[in-house]
Amino acid sequence: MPAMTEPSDDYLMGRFATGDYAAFETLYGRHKDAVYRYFLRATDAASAADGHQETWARVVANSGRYRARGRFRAWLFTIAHHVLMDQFRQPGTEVVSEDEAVANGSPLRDAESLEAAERLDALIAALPAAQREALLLHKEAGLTVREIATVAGITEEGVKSRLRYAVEKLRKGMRGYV
Amino acid sequence: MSDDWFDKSYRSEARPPAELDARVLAGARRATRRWGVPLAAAAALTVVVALVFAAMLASVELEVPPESERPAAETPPVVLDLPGSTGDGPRRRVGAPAAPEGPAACDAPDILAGPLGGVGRRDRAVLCRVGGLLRVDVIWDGAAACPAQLSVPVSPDTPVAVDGNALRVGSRRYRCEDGDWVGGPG
Repeated sequence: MPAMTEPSDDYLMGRFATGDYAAFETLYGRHKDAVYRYFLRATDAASAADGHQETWARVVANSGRYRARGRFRAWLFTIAHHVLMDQFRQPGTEVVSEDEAVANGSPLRDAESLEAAERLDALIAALPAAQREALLLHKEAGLTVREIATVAGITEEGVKSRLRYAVEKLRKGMRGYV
Repeated sequence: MSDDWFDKSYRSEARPPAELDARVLAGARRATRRWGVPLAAAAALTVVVALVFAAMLASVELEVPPESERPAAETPPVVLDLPGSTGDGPRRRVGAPAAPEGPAACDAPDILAGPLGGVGRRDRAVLCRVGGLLRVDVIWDGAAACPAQLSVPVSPDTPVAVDGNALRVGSRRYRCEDGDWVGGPG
């Protein structure tokens, strides 16, 4: 008896585009955490919820245009990237910045007393937005360098550079913690 | 990036709140309900059209003309006299491939022009509404970008327009991508 295999994202999107709501539920369950954390690490909690909801609303609205090429996750995070950029352009959006991270009471100020995970969170929050996004697309979304380049609209070399700088900063900041 | 120090310390336990999940899923559920009506109608229409077509075939088989009276196998192109109020300038005559049922089957033949096959092209879409089905025969400006013709189940009064390099039929957009028609809401 052949082993049961999970339906692919492409298959589920195809089902959803023909009105199969259960397919969307499965798809959402697979990717919702990564999308939510992508926003949560780049903005405040309220904006993260808005971005998360808007991203999935756009997935629903554009489901008929999705081309099944085995790259649903890259397509999904391209949408999320655009939503995030839209949020950044809106006045009043709380974007985590380096200044904020080192402000009074921030994790960085008392970094020595924090656990390694909290330290890493703070360091990620303190990364420049472009480097942080490249890192999150790589770690949270699992996208390749090429896919990140497509999502962010930059060259692969640019992505590699951002990742290199981000990792270097994190590595330096984590010395003595791990 | 496969640094152990990173993976050991990277926290990824954050989850969207249940209330947020509920909002997202409710939106998707509403959308599928909205799509359900036209999809069901399209399915029903397909069945009806298939039955009518089968009935027509059956009647044709009873009246087979002698060999000498049969028409040529290849139908010549038909010149459609198309109205000019569709955004394509003055009234003009456009040659279109003859459909098996002939142009008379169109309730209201119409034509739109636009870059359906890519930037800089001037492709023409001949719209033929037969009953509740819209058939679009594209006359490509140069090589055919999408060899297959487009059939869309719509009501007769559904607005159709060229939107960039896509054909907008009601609230749906259809684009010719990599040799296939791709369509959907939006």
